[in-house]
Amino acid sequence: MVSLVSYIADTMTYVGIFGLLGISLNIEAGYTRLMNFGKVAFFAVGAYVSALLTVSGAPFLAGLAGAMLVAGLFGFLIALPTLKLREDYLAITTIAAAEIIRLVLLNERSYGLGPMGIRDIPRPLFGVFGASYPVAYMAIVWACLIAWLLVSQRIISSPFGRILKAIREDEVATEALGKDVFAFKTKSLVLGSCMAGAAGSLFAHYTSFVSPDMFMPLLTFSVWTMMIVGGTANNYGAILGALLIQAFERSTRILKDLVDIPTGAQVNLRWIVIGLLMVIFLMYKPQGILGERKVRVTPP
Amino acid sequence: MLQITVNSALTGSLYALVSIGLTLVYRILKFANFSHAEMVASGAYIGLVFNHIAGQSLLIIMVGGFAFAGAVGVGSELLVFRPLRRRGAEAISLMVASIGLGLIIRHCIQQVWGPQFLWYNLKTKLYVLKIGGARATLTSVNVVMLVSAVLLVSLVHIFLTKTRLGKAMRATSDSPVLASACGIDVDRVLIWVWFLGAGLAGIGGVLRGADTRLVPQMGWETLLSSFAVVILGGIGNFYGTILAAYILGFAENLGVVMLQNLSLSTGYRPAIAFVVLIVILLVRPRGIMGSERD
Amino acid sequence: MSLLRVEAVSKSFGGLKALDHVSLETPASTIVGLIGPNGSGKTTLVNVVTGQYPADGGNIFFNGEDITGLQPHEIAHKRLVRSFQITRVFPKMTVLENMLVAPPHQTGEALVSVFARRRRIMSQEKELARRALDLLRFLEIAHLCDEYAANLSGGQQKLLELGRSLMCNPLMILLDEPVAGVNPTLARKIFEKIVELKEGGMAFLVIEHNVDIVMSFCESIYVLSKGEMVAKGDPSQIQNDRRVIDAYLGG
Repeated sequence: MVSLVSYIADTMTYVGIFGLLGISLNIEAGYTRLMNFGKVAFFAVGAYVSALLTVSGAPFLAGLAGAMLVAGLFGFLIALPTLKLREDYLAITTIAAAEIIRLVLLNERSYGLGPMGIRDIPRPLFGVFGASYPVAYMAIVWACLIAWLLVSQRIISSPFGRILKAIREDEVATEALGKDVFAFKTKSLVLGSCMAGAAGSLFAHYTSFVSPDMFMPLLTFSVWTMMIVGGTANNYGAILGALLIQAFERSTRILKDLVDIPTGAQVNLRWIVIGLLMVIFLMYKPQGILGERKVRVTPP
Repeated sequence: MLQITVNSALTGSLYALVSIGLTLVYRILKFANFSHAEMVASGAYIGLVFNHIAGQSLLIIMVGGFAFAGAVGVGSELLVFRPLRRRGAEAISLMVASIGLGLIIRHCIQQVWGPQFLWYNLKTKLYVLKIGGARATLTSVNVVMLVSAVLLVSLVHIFLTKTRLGKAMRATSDSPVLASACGIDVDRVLIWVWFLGAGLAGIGGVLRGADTRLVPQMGWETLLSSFAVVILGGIGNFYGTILAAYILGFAENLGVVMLQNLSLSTGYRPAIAFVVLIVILLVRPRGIMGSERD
Repeated sequence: MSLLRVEAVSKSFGGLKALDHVSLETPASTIVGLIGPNGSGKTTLVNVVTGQYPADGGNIFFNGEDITGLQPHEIAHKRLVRSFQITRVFPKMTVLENMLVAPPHQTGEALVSVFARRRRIMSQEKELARRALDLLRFLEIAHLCDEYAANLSGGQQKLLELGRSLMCNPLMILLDEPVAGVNPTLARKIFEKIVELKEGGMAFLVIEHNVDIVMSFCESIYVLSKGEMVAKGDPSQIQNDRRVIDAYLGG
């Protein structure tokens, strides 16, 4: 029997990781209207880079930094050819690009890639905390989340963030006002990719194991649902969405333990509900639970 | 080489059947319908029921798959997409909703039938084709695939050019606004587009299931390739789609051979369609036969 | 000396010749009108001048520089700004936010500066907000500063778009039907403001259908028909020009 404290810590660790993913998607989709449906690829890149670096002996922070750097680089490389595409084409292209990345992770056999994945990824500060490690790791994750949250909030309330919103509202008008829309979109995607890479690193060091089938398109869709449900264009909404979806997933698992439901059913139920939430919120409450906050600039 | 040609024709036939509905809905409603993948799966899986009830007639299974998938398509329009449009949702929201809908349908299928591979109970024969010095093998299911594709595509062509409903569909595809102004009941035509498109995808699903196996992800497996076909052929262009389907089929099968020659894993096969997709979007988004630029 | 000089610009779409060797000049501190029947190519001309479409032929000079072939944002940076026929305000941003997007060279637009130069950004924001509110007061919509732009009436949105263009600190603004759908009293008021701005040195090229407005406020008028410039002159000349009458009746 797992102690209640570790159970909650475990849950909140995932909330933190997915909250970070949600914020990263928020910058791209909620604020800049970039239809990034390949989010899982940056998450995977971050996880793998961090895993490979630390398994070869580098410290955790190097892994984390490497994850953010390489994921951000991938974001830049993908941005260059695709950000001029129409939104639906961007969505399709990002899914395709993400799948290509996953196929590489699956089919290449060198450098630790391949279907067997990477095991025994070192956990930071593992010996130090002993039995209360789950709580300690949760704190690490949340420290990272809060740091990125503060960064995002600062960005969003800045002139840079204002231009991202303007791009979301009307690209053509923004361009006509003298802003290099492509450059801003690229920065938005690179930023989001860095964050997703960080989330990936935190994930890899928590589960201590990564393999390609942990990074399917389904993960991207669940992050989108978290953002839509919690509140698009609201970072707290993204975290709320992560919390709600995690809570739901946990409760179905608990249900499975209490009532005799086969494992498969619980998984199916989870995705059916996620799909339903996506559709229902888009239909009845597209701004999500929290919605975007109005910017009131107090006149001098 | 003959085997590659045969395989290409088979892959192309599958893509042709699946992509017709996708391209029409994309053109008329202007959104990429990700739940189209589940029409493929729906047709295939209901085929199991028909297989059980009606025995080993592939034809009956195909008809059953067509009808059921068509119904699912119409259901998706009436329950999800039409209400969303009535609420003023933009195309991009329809696309995102279709992803959610796809999740729902796929996991309902998985709940009912389970995640494991399933097969139809059919008697299949193996044929050997000999042309000149070359030989290729095909199963009876393969033969049905080729024949059905040719037949169905021809039927759809006749339908689109000779019947009133077909012409109304083409008019709606060109411009829903103008079509409506000319007195066409666009909403009703749309229902038929969904039924026909999803139904054909369902037949594609049955044939693919009969040729390989059934698994809940089977629709999703073909979806990105179908998008490649739709965009390559020019969104909404029926003839372009058919042409693109066979081009992609050939590219994939040839690509597999090249992968083997380059000692790369054939697990990269799906990547061929993805690469084609990305290249098309970057180089010529309107496709080979598309008319307007976006 | 002309601020804007359009020389023999041509543009075709497929087989359709939308602009055929069109030339036009706008000196500083003037209001120039551009009129013509629907579909004559007026908006296309603005789109080509501002870089939305590349010209097939001809050149465009602004403030002494050749701006042919530049991107829209580069041209706006040269202080040639445009408004749109159908207003393109940012709907889910407030009126003040709309205004604050526009000014060029804001320190806070650079991502690194957002963290490294906070104080400078904050003082710039204050200054820009003050300037924006002054402009909004001039346009008489200051009371709406915290309202979402989507909630404004059509006429108020036109005023906001004008204000936003002004925040770019332009030398010249291309106005595409700035008072379409606006009631006549407000329309005249808007043009009176434009005259005030013109007297401050700004140049305007105005596409307008409202004959009264054009005749009252434009110092010179160009007439476009089927992609060709058929006439130019001052209001009295244009009024009596046979070709203009033909263009409207024939086109």
